[in-house]
Amino acid sequence: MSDLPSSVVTGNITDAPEPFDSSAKRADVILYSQDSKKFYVLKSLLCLASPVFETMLSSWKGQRSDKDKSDVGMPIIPVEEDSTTLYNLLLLIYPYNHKPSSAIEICFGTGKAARKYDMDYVDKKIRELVMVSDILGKEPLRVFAIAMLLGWEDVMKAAAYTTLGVPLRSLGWCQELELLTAGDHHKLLQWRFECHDAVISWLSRQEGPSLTSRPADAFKKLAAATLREELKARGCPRSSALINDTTKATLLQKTPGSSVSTFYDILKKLAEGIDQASSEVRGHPRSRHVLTWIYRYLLILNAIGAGWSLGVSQLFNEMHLCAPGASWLYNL
Amino acid sequence: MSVDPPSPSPGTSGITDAPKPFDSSATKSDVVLCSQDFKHFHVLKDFLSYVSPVFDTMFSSWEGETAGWVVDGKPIIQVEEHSTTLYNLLLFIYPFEREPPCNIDTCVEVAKAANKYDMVEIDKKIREVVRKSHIIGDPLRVFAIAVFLGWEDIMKVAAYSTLGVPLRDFGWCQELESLSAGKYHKLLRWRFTCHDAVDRALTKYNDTNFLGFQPFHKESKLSGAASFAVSLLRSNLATTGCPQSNVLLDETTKNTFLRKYPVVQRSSLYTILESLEATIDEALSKVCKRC
Repeated sequence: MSDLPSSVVTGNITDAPEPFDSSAKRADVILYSQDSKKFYVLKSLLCLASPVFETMLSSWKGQRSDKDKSDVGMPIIPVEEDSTTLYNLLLLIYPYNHKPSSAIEICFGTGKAARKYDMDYVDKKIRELVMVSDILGKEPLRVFAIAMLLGWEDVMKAAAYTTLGVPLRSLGWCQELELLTAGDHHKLLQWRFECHDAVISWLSRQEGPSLTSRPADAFKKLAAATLREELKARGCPRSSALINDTTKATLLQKTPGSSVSTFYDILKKLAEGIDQASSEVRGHPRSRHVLTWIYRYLLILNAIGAGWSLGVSQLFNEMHLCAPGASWLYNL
Repeated sequence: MSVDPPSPSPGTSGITDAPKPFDSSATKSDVVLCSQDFKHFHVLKDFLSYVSPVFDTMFSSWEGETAGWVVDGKPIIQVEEHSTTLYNLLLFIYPFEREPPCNIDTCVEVAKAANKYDMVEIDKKIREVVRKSHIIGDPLRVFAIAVFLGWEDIMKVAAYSTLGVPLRDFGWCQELESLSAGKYHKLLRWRFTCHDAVDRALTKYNDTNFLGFQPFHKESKLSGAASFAVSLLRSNLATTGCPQSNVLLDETTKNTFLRKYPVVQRSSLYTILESLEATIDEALSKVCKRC
């Protein structure tokens, strides 16, 4: 374990924000963030959350704080994470009611840290956080990229389906794309086209000769045709994008005076059918856990062996090497 | 690269002569390159020194005495390249009249070797061959390769060629794995910009037409023909998504257009088609300049 950075000596270290400042009750370990903040935390909680910390703390030979009441002082663990990441990570470990930030950068940072320290349930919590936050809808491609890098298969899948609702040309560039390969992007694109075709053919089948001349059947036929045109024009094979205010208004205009509730029922069924059709494209994703394990093994080895000197770029390289999340895409 | 020979010592049956003109009969040759698959290339030191600072440094450090293995009194240098790569690389270096390799894989391997040995001029020669020959079979692949090798000129040509392929016909290739998704994304964005630029240029062409700014369309029939052609092209653009004149103005479109106006003089119809083609290409070249 490397010595603390020189800033400790020069004294510009500060306390972490509450509730991890020096007033923290029963704290018995200090985590020292990359930007020189001291987090006073509970060893037992840390060890419970992370086997990596458990191993490390079971035989601590590194630096300790000055002796005071106890005879040895608290272990000081320098970590690579900055204080924002560490703060949010600890919030997820502690049973406090503070909500950690759901900003995508922070989720990415804490996600990486959770992976690194092998914190399975924290990782799961972050994934849940991402799934319910609005970032999925705002920047689906970015979330997709991040989820792929972190091997979050469920998030990746959700993000991939969300990208379908956004026109191809509106999917914005983001820094994280530089960490994926063009092959990954290409597969997402080709998968999108397959979903497109699947939805088109499903909608065409709904337009088939209806047996009755009931208004409901006629409406279904008309709606399917309208949605198919919308799909051709916008290229978004997702019900939320196809059944929008414009298409709804067009449909209601074309069939005035009929029961609106029936129409909404039909539209709802069409929406389900559309999303079902794209979810059936090349079956269900399966994961390749082996890769995830190799990747984790590498990280732990690196973290312990190299004394936490694992650089961010190296971390990314290794992630890329094993690309745990990529398996979902490769199975498509 | 090292001066040591491959593990089986020279003279064993595993080692063969390189194909002509680099076999042991090569006149004046004074050094032997041993390829990865154990073929001996008898070459001239001076040629290598001239094109490659790497070889130059190596030879000058020898100072007359040569450690290691020797064949026919010539020192052996073990290189990492396969004999096919080495053969083609040497063909680029030697002033022989030889057919350059006609396949992109060989060109890539040769270019990698040329980069490794710091052969700047040879790299230029290879680019020239790639650009001139019609080996741009899969433009996306060539794009990825060009980005990888830092060939900006080839990259532009390849990017332009990708416009002729519908997005969903883009094939996967191994090289995409060495390209970043960000670059790929930018290629897509650029494609959409081209798409919009061409669409705008066509619409504008139509508008100017109706106002009668272009003298040869003054007659109402020609004006109608021009706007029909524009609508054909725009619908082609919308269905294929390929903003390139040779895709939009394919034979089918041309024939549809010509058949629609049997009574109008052919030459005026061709003038319309040509000016449309020029409009598309001009719109594209403006976007290309900015990319």
